[in-house]
Amino acid sequence: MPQSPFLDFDELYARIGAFGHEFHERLKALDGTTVTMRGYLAPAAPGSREVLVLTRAPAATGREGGTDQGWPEDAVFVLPAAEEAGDFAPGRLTEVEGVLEHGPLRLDAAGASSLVRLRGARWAPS
Amino acid sequence: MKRLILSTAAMALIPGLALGQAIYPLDRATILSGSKFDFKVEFPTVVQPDQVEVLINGESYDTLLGAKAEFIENEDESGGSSLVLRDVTITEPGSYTVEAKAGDTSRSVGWEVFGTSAEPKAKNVIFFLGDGMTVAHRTAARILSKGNTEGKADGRLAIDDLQYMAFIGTSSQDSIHNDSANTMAAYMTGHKSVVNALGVYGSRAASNFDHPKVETLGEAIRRATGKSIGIVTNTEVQDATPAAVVSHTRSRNDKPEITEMHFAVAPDVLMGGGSAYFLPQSTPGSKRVDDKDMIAEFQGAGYTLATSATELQQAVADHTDGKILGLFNTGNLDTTLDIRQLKKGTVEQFPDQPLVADMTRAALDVLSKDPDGFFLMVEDGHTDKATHALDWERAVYDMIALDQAIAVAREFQEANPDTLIIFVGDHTHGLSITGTVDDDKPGDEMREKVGTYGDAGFTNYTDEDGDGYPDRMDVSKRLMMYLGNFPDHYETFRPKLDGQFVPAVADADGNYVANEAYKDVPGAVLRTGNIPVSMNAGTHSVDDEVLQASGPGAENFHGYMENSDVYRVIAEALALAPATN
Repeated sequence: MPQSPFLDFDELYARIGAFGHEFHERLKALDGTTVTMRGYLAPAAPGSREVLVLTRAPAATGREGGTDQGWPEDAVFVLPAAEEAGDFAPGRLTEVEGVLEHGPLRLDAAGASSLVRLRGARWAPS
Repeated sequence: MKRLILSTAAMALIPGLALGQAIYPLDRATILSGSKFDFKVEFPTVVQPDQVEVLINGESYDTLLGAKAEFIENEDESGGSSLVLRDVTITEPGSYTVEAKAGDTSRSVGWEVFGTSAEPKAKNVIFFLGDGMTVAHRTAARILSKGNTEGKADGRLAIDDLQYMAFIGTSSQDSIHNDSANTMAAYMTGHKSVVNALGVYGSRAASNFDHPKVETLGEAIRRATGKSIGIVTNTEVQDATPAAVVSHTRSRNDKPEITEMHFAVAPDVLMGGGSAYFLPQSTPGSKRVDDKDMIAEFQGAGYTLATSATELQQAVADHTDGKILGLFNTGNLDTTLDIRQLKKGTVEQFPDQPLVADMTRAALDVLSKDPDGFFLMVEDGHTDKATHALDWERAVYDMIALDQAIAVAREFQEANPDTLIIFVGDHTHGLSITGTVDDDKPGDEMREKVGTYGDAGFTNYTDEDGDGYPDRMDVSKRLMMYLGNFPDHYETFRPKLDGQFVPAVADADGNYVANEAYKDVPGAVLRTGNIPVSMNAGTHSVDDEVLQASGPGAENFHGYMENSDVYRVIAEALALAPATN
């Protein structure tokens, strides 16, 4: 996989707080460019291949009967490239490359509000 | 196949089965006299208004309910007609028989409308909800917090001295199983409902907000008393348990709307997490889909806002009148183990989160200023959430945290004996203590280090600082607890010090597989799940809950009770429907 600038999860937000989040300067500087991030992939919604999430540690959400667990605040939403089949290795550290985009955006396919996205994403186990 | 078709057709001909009328409130409903509820009859097919006859105690329903219902010919394209009459009340206690006829089909249900004593037994009610609490949570908390020597506990939890006790049935309108929404709603309305519903019966309405409503305890207290209301939780304030005090929706996931339902009832104290549902959608981190700024709305209505334990302490110290809104996290507060010891989860972002006991003390300081008294609901949600995650260490640590909150309430009760304290879970988990696990036993197989019977011996947790919490969870001889149902996962036989356990993660098809992050933990073994692969966590169980209570009115808890019966005891203690003649 070609190496683009690496973006760490710690470089997404300068602050996460009860009144909202503040984006990190490095995130803002890289917006619109292709970056590489490293984390764990999962479908954003059950069985969804259109939208995935990338998290710094393995994560799962569930609303069945009260687990009621959302994605971590710093989850990145991943919109796969057209040629990406959508398969991934669950629970394995994965390098994802895509065009960085930030700002509130509702992703209906995921049933979630996103703040940071990687579009046209491709990936490989790291 | 032919036999199956015939069989299905035969079933359809049985009146009242599958295709019969549905009447809400349901058969055997118990209704607080004077409370507001929606009356609804659903007919299985489209019928004409002149075919319909609905009687209550032999008279047309509008004689008792005071108005004609809306007739909906084909409700939400369901292929059936409905009668709906909202916000009705029945003031006269007694038995009522409701009969709905349409052509050749009819259905009859019975309601009991109950009143209460003229005089309240209790001035204050404090309702503690240990979400998902199971007997094993209590036992483990006692062992970890107090110790055990030669078979006797070395101390007692605060809950151990609550006087009265009852078994509580937790099944639902639609299932023997349950969730935290409809179980807490049963406590807070006196009515059963369907899984995931709050303050409504589950009907065929398409919109979550069109189902037949029943009055919540928050609304009843506002309608019938001058008492203050407090809601405290370490989950999001929109989570099922705190939501049930005030909410009406078919889905517990309607969290932006639930925020507004809190605002409508306006609790005098509202504390927990979930600030994301207060923020307008333009604010990064918001989980609303509109531009409402609910923090500004609450502040405009006179609420003082606190976003940390320090700010909460200050708000209470400065408090003379007005209301308190505590929002300490965008989502759920972290578990008590993470806040106090491990500093994992979101503790780095939210380093000053209050514990449940801190919030309880603050709430009591504010609410007790009301000369009319108060109702306070306090929840610890991590006893459930961590148990779902098969992370019993975090769940039990939070059980201790909840017990410490109950100790605060017991102190208050000593000074204010006109206070009823209730402590109950909403549903159980299949959690059980098997014995101990001892790292110092020989070999690498963790299974062989598990001690049972006489070989279990005793654990070596310590509490050198006497704060009631074990000094560390990763001692060499620990409790060994297992859950009865689980997804695929790696059993590590150890506490998860790096963050709450994530037992299973989804593959590309959405099926949950064991999380490989734990594969290389020394001694970890793969356990194949025993529930559907679509589930990522352990589930609730159907076993009874145990309720304990002390104070005026507590004597009414005994034997086996439905969760919906608990409401009546609270209503009686507070005299929410005093006889008028």
